[in-house]
Amino acid sequence: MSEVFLLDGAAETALASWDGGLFAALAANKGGFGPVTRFDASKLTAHSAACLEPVPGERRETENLTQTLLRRILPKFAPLPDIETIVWAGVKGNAEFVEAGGFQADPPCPFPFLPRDYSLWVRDELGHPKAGLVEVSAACASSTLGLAVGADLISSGMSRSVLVVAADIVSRFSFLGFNALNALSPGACRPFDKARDGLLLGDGATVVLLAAGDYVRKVGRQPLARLSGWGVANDATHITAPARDGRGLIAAINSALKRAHLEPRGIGAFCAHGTGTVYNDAMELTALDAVFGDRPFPVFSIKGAVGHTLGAAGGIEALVSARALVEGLVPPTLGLEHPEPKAHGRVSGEAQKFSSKRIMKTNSGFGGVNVALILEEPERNEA
Amino acid sequence: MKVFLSGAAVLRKQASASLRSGPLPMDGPGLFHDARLQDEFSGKFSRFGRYDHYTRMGCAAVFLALRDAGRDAPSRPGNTGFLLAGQYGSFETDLAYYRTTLDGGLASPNLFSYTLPNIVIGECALQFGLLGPTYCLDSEGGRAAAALGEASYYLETRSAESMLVGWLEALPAQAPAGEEGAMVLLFEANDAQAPGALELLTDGRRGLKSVSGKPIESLDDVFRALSGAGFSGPQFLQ
Repeated sequence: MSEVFLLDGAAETALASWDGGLFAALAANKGGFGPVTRFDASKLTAHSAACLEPVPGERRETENLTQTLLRRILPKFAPLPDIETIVWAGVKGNAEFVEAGGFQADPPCPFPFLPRDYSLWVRDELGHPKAGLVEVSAACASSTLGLAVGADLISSGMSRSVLVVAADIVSRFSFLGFNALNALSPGACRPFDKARDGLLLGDGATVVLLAAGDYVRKVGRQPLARLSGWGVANDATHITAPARDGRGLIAAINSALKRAHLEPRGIGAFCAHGTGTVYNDAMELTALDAVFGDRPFPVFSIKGAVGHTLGAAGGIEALVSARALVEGLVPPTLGLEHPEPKAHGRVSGEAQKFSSKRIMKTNSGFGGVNVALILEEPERNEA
Repeated sequence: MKVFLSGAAVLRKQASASLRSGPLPMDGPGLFHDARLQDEFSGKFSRFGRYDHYTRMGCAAVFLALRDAGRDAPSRPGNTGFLLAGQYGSFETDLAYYRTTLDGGLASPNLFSYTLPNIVIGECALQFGLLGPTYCLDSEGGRAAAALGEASYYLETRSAESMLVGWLEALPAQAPAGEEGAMVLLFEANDAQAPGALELLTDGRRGLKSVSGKPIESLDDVFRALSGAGFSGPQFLQ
């Protein structure tokens, strides 16, 4: 079994880009949201989102906003040697095509609309024509799952370098849908707060490079983290609501722990899905108690700051988790004022220090899917 | 490691069949001509009437594959996973949902809930107690090649005790011409529940191979292996 390293990454969010100080902005308790102006939300109950707008001249005539955001971060990875696999993990890549009139648009809409359209486009943009293409979809756990699938490819020896790419935007399609489900907060998104009342949508794009040890040595860079455990499980409960008892998430976490040969006490911090909806956050707190008992340790969510970026969320949060390991500090959970009782001693509105070498990252999605990852601080001589 | 193919189903416009039942005439996507079979199927999926073609076909194919293997009772939850290949996913519903938001209309929460390709997997997980790894996974190469490889790896590493692997495609009306239909196979790590099943070998993340060592690189290869092994149903499945 080959070891799996998180070698490099990039992200675009409304708060900041990965290379432009995202972690520092999160640690400083900043948020990147405001009133939605991309479409008319005046008649809806929710009006805020974390949106990124292209700078003048940035967007190509034939591309959609999802592609524009990805073009900001893909060039960083083009010079790398031999990217063997590209995993596309965006969730609603057809939303902009549908909004532009879909198949009935006249003239025909040039936007990509299938997952393969995106993976092919990413391969062309990168200039790595030999890279194999994979597309995954697991709702809001998609890029987390992309990392798990990439880890399988590397650990089994099928690939030495896997680029997981995901992007989703605040589309009218998604905003109206989540609003219709009463899932959007009419005010501020407050993960794990007693007064939480819904999520905040956000634009997000992410690229995460997973690599085997020999690829890491070839590139000669210090990895961000070692991906030592991953697990996927379904809760078989409801298509849009999580299992109240958290059984799917518990199973995914236990599967990741088993793969990493760890006991729960080996995890020192936890980056939650933390959407700010009543049922998701309650389910996560229940699962945390079930796995970790009453041990206090830092738990956080960044969705109050950058919004829920759908398919891109897991990749962005994995990068933040890797950086948290290096800094020995998890960012505050923006919006938290009155924590749920089960969140006391874990979730905080302040940044929290920790000294463990391992952090867990989980995401859950519609369709009952749950994914857990374990990131470890790499040895300094890994490269 | 040996694995056992204990259930298989194919739904096409022109014909449908399962491994052990043979041909099963359909009156439409997910609508069995046989009234008893239709009752059995729709009785398991209470929201069947709400489903789009994509969800109906996917649920029907999973139902048949699990029924083949005697694994269709909801009282038997287990660490079974489901990996599903395809490109269009819920596109038909995406368009239908978005139409409800136009001209001052109210967005339909019911339709929005079905605007993800993995919701059909969630419906099947709910009905059949699938607690293992469940997601959409497609790739270049043969039909469901990556899903077969990943399923093989889950079985070989004992991360799942059985795996459904499928391909599902329902094209919206104005989409470019393409192949439509559903194919679902059930692989099990042991044959206690699947006497007489086709034996295959796992090959790590590379996928499956026949007992003679021939690589299985697509769902179509599995059906060819079934035919070659003398199973009576497969001639209806291709």
